[in-house]
Amino acid sequence: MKPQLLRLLLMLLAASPMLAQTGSIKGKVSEEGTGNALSGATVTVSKKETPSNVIAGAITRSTGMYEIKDIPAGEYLLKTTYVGYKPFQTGVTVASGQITLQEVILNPDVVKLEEVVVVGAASRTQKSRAEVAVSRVDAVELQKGFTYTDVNQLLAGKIPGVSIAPSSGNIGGSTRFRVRSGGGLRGNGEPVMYLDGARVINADLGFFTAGGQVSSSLFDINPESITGVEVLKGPASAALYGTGGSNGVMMFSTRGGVGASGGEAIAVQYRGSVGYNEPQSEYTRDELLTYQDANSIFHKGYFNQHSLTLAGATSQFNYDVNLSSRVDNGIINNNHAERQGVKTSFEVQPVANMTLRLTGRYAGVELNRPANDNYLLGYLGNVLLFGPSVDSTGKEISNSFFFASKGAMDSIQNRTRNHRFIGSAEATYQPMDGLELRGVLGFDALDGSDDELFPPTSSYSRVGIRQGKRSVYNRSRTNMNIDASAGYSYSVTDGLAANSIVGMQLFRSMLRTFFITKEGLSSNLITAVDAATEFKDGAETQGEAREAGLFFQQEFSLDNIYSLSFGVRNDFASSYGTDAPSIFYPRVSAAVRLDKLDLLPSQFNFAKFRVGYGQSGQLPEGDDGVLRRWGKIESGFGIGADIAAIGNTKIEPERVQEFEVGLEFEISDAYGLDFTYFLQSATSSIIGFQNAPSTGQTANAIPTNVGAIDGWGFEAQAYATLLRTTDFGLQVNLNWTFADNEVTDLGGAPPLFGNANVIEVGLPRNSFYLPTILGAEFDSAGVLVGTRYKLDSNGLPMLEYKGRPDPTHSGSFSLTFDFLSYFRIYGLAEWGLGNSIFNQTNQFANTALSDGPNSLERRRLEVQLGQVPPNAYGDLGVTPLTPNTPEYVAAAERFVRTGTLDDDRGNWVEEADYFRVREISVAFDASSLVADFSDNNIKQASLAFSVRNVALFTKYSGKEVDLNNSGTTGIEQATDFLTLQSPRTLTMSLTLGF
Amino acid sequence: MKHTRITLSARALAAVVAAATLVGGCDSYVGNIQEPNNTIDDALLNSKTQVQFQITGVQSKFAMSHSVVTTLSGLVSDELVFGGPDATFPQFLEIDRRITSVLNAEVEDFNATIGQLRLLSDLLVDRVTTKIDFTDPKAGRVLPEDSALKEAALFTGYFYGGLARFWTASYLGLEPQKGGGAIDAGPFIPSAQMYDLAIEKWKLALQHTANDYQKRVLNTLIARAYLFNANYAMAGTHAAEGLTSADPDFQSLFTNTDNGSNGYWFFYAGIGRTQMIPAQRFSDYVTENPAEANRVKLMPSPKDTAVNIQGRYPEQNSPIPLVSWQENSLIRAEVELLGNSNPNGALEYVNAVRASHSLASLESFSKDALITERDKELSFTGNRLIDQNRFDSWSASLPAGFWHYIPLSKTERDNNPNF
Repeated sequence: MKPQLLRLLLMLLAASPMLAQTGSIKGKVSEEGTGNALSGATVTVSKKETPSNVIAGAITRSTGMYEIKDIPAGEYLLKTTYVGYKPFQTGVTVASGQITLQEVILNPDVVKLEEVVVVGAASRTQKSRAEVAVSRVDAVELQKGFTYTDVNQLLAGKIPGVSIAPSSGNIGGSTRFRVRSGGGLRGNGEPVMYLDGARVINADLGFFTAGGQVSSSLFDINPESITGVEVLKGPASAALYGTGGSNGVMMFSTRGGVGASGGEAIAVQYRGSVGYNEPQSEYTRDELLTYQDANSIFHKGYFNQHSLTLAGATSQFNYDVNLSSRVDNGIINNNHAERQGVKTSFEVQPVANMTLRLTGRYAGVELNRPANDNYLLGYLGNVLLFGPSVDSTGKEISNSFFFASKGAMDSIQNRTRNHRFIGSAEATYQPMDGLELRGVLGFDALDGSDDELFPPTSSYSRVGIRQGKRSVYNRSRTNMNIDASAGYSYSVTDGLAANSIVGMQLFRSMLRTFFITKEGLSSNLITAVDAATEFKDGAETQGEAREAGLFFQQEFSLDNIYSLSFGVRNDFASSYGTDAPSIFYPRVSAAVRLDKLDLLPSQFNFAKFRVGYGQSGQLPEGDDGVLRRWGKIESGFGIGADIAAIGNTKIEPERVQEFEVGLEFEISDAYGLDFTYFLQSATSSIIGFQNAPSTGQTANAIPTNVGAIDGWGFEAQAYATLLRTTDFGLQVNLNWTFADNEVTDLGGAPPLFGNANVIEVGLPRNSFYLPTILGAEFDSAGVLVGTRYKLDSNGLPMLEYKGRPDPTHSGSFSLTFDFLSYFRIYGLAEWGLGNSIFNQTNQFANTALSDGPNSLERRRLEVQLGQVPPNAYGDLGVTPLTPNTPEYVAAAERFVRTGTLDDDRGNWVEEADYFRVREISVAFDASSLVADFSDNNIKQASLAFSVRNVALFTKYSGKEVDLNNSGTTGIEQATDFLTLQSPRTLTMSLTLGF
Repeated sequence: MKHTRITLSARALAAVVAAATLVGGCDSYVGNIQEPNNTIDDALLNSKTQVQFQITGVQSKFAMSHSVVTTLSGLVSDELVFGGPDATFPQFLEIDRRITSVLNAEVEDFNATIGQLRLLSDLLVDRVTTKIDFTDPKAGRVLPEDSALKEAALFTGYFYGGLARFWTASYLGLEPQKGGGAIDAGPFIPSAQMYDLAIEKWKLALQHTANDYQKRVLNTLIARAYLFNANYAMAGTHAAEGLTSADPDFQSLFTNTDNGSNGYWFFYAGIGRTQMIPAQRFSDYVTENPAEANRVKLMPSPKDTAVNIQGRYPEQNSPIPLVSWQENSLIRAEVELLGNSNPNGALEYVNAVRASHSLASLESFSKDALITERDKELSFTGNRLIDQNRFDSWSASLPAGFWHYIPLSKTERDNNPNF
């Protein structure tokens, strides 16, 4: 007999007596108050003397039942945990050969106090113990009734202190994140993002931007595969993540086999959604003379989404495999998206003290962008700007589609195609009691291309394209991160527990790009770039950025009442100046459980006061730390050298520090509040010093660590369970955020402009900063001759604050109403106060770009003021006015208030407070009915109807408040220049589980 | 106890060593990145193998700048007007109305392009004189081909450095009627002194020419600068050494690619897109005398045949003449007419120019005729604005205080401590 077989036989023989001395525990897990069965709850058994050492466990089935077999007879501790409920534990006795019955009733956890959340680079704890503000989004719960296009939609309006707004209504378009008061003076405001431990690419995509819009790389991620999102909102909590943590950290987690299968060994779930997008509102003649042409370009866009999940769980191994597909059409031609993906995860517990988790996902994505924004071939530009001509009979003749016919625009192809793989391997190991080692290897590879085609069969001569044009841009972008940490928990004295953590993070990002543009396609059938005759443009780039950090954190907890932690990170990055000093980021935080001090009435079942401080930063750009770099310049003389970048070898990150103080409490297990006040201060902000043009050093502004900005505000989240019975449940949630900021120093640099927005001392970041119009200027005869501006000491129009692009107050209110055990109604409303939008569309629509402005009011004024012959525009119901009359003066004043020169842009900055009914859904969960009917073969069946962007109420005269014509980043913000409105989306979804 | 202390010390030492290793490792990790392949560090250009690359860089910057300054100066003058089938840019409208804001983005670009040409030119001279050793290491001396390369670099640097100063004098203004600019964020230099600085550079370039054609080009340019400074004597002297009828134009050269094209003319005032069109008088010139079409290049817009657009630069790669023998002759004519009060002497030069376009000779000549001849002959080459300023031939209907120049931009005013 071979030794291995012999050993196996001996093991089996040795095990036999044990089997004869075991028993079982079984029972049902249900919800307190309603008695509803809870499916997917985790039930574990451990010895009383070693409670952290789980020896067996099970997951409850759809009926709420569980059973744990083969437990050696003895005294045990049985623990039950379930997301959204407070954990339960009790002692049980297992007798040999017996089945012990143990019912479990779980209390809802209103403010999710017992959920384990990330509170630092390698630190996790229950939310009830967290010393910093951390938000968690329960993506599974949200998606029970709602189908989201992408993760950006999933998160919008759900996280206090975090604003998520698309820059256009394009399907898969880019999204701007604003966390608290913005983190720092510069940077793109984007939080660092992790998906199952892999630091993911969240860059905008789209080389040929078809206007100002690009696409979001986060569209590649199927939101239905997301279980939860945890958010750290600033340096106080994210300091140990290093530079970049100033805008917070978002950690997406996907569901493993346990959650997906409901504890079954094999479970299959299908979810299908169909629906359509439609415009939220139409144009009228009072807005634009070309309203009919404008409305004609919109239509319903249909979509469908399908997702199939195979999952299973055993005590030592769980898995899930998810296949998904989405095909989506926007409200305008050429706005089409497809996403097909597969996602897998495997979690193994080879031994009790080790867990291995492997996740991998692939997505194939195609995004077609319609041309819009500041672009000659944009749909909106060609129907909103060019007013009609009027013939001799007074008939209006359309000048729409001025730069190209609609057919020619429809023929334009602007497409991004991605292949994306995101994978991670995570291992946790407890080699000895109290010591935990954790390592993560994350990888995100995004290979793709952007294609642009102007077919030769259409005419684009008005923009200088002759006989077709073909462009191809290829990108290969890779992120790789290694995170490793060791944490050791120990007791210092009785009641004083400590935890020491050391760790390291390495991050590498690589990007290679190549593009080529040629013109002169011979045929619209063969559109490969080599079928075009004339080379127009091309480029190749390669680049790499690296970051590294070492961190240490020390945590103390006294009697589970008082806690204190502090830490420091030594940070490294390739973009730091070659002469920059070493960078350290410290943090410290503390909390006290007020409810355990017997200071509060007994109704307070939880109360915590916390305070935190930390530092982080904003990285310099890639070439900021290099003195001067040269690139190429091209002409008929050949290719020569030209200055490409001018940097600063002493450049270091902008230093952002944050202080926060918070109060959390829960009353009567039904009402909760989580309030945080924050104070941010950024110094050494990187300001680009524009050199005087006469220096010639104007390739870029010189980065210099001289700026400063302060930010402050609060975020509050209030929960209430207003009703909870067997048949009815009503929960409401209110988020309210106040965030403000003021630029305090630019180091003497002049204001930094981005169209109408500015970064200027004494103003909120990205304020609108434009000349002030005093009124009309008349000559001695009372005839309008111009505009009077408020002038500065140089006699130039004085620039003044005209508004800000971001709301100071924003928030959301959601309501979830469960009734008759089967139905759920959910609604979400959002609002913003104090923000403005630059309506550049109206500025240009009021300009006489063709045969007169595209505004009825402006044409009437021109007639009244004698700017054009009385019948120039046909019969508009007005006649020329006489100078010096009150009517004339009033018309003149209105005329200059609708002036359209650059110095008149202040006319077009509008207040844009808004209230929006963002989401409404009705879901019918017939799982229990269908389970009975199908003899439990069909375990899940639900049907949901949902509407997104239901209604918008705003002071703004445009169609949308979530937009920016030049995408998400940059100084220019909240500018509506021919930008596509977001669609209203109606969805019906069906979920079946087997 | 002794043993314990040693152990603790060893552990502390090990911890310090481990920490230092990790810190050093992190530092090394972030420093070991792949270099970009589309840009290089400045120091790598300090090699004679890179001199031609830099010469071409200066030439290309000249071409790009030339496209900008000739169009926008034409818009400030009465040569081009904002309009045409595709006119939408308010920045161009402002410039055309001469109510130009210093914030105007086109003003910013105009200032920047001249400054960049000046810097690249001056850096090239500095690099070849102070940073590059042309000595051949084997021969121990400067080889003839390397000497020629250095001479070419110096010619290029001085030639285009002079041109950048000339453009500053001609097109930029601190105030609506106060022409001139700054160099390297220095004090304001009025046009007259800036012309002198241009002449100074061009005279240095004369010491590094490779052939007589280059000498004649330089002499014509120097004559032009003296002429604009109303120094007829020196203008005449240098024009006498300037281009002759056998010489081709000295031009900026372009490609049909997006980056190397004559973009401002083609995409703002040409077939590619039309936001600026020639003033009506150019069409009238041709209507009155069809032979004028030989030098007043117009063509109907393909998008609206009722509108004439400039036809001098029909393609993206159409070259722009910087200087021609015809201009040299007109300089000589002006010197005769206004410097020497010799209209008949001037006629000889003017008629030679006209004959080159098969135009009948003039029988008499005057200042107005000179201005008209220059308007036609030098149309769309950036000369009209200078002529309007020096002859003060502006329309009476322009608003009070209108800009005679492209303003020094707000960035110059904000970042030059002298303003």
